[in-house]
Amino acid sequence: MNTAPVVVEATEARTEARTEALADVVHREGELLDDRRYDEWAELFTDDCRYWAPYDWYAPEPRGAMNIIYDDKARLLDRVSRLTGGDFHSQDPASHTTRLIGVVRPLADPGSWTPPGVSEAAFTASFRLTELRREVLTEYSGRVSWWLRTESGSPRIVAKKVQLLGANRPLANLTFPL
Amino acid sequence: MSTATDPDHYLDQGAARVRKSAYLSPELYSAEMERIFDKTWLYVAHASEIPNPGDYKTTTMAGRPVVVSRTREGTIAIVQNRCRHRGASVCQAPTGNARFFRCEYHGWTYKNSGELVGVTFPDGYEKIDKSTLGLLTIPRIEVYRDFVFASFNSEVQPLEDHLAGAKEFLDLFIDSGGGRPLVAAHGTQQLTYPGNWKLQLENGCDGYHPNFAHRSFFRVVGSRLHDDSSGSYLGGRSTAKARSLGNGHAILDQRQSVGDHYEKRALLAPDSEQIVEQLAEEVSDDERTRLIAESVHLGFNLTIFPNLQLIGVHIREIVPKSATETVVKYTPMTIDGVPSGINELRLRSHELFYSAAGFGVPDDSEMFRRVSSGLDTDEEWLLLYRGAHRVEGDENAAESHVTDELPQRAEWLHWASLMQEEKA
Repeated sequence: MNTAPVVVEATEARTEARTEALADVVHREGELLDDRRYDEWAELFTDDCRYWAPYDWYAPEPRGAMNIIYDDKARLLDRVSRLTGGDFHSQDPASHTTRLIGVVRPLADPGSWTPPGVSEAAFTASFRLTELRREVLTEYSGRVSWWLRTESGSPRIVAKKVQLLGANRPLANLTFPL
Repeated sequence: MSTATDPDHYLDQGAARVRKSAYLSPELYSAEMERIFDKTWLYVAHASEIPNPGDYKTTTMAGRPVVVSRTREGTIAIVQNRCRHRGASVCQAPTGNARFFRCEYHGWTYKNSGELVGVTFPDGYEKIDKSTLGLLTIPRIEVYRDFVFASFNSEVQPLEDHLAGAKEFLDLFIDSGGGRPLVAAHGTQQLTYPGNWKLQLENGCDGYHPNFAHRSFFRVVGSRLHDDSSGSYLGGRSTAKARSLGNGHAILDQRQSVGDHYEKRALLAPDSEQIVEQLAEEVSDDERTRLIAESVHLGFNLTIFPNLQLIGVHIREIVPKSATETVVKYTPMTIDGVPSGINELRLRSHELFYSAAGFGVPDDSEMFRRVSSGLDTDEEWLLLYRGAHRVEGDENAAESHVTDELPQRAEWLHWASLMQEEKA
């Protein structure tokens, strides 16, 4: 019994280090989106990924809901193909974005949705995103959650959920990835 | 009538062209609200949005806030959302259930059908005739197979007369559940664009634009399906037709040209493999094929003048906000009683094309934006004469190639006839 706490601490330390490495990918993801490096962005996602943005902030899961976005990997690659294909009118001119990601914390309450892919950890943060397009600045805010796992030594996104504040109000052009 | 609101000033019928100011003038917009939106039938709600007594939704009719409710007797009531006392709205939520609407400013209480039933501290009034102080109601309401229409014009023609040739296609849309009811069970999404409401009206049955405005959509779908002509069912050589249906209504009929494109497109959705596997146990092969194809589209786009369009699986309501600002509401319909996988495919198909992040509609909004920008140049006219030489049939039941501007001309002619009536 005397040695037990030491073992726990060591395990916690390792877990924390690994968790930090995993969580770091969410900042990289934001940078790739803001830099419009969409092919690299798509590579962060696992083959069994889901990318979900509900209209209803409280939607319990995506399959039975109307969503702003509900992509598997194939549809996410379609999205990227449009963004990089040169024929995407509502991204001509392209949106320029910067995003502030708040403190990234472990997702304490994962809610009722379990993404289909296996994940090691889940994180959540508030975000604020500013989009510039045609000399107009548009602000978006909300909460983003990521489910992550390590694949071939690198952190990958198993699922990303974006809850957009005011998704039910009239929206204009959300054709850049949130 | 001043030139500013005279339809002949804006629509050159002979040349089938429209003046740019028809999309810009605030004065014309006000006249449209009075002569069109206050005079004809407007789509207001689907009855499945308020299934139970006391259910309500708040919305607008020609700019006025209204509450659409299910009464205790099961009928549909529509009231203007404004206390008769000193003006406060009496219902605050987008949807809900309430036995009464109570104005929280001074406590006046109304039934959801509008009758004033309670005035607080009534001894402060020497006399008050509650029967004259109900919430303002809408003179005419008709429900056609769960589609709730209403009109501010007590003299408006019967709804079925107004629907004219569009009724046949409204029926097809309603019957697509195969006897099971269509329901609005997944909410309404709203999009806005900086342009005139008639740009959306014209676009809903515009078969000329998809291969260009939606080029990237057809490219990625075609790439997934290994089919480099995925938009050809709407192309220059398509057998699809545009038709006018009377009273400004129109359809694009792609039923003969689309082949199995919709079914293939449906099965690109996330989770579709799992869904199809499950469906094999739940419905026969024939019905499965039909339900999957129709989860994308019924093969026709329907416009019911002035504010309703049925496209894909959704009900679309055009909500004019000003001469240069429009909101469009999209309510995808699912089928009550089919395997859940079919309704999942319907929702996936809807969000793929029509979401604010979708692969279709944002490109339409971008075109409306570009048109609005182009209207600031010196060129006066927008041209709508494509295909005028190859129209068959008369004005109210004409047919032309799917890429022709017959629907737009039919909409504008009806627009002009309504705008004209005030002249007499």
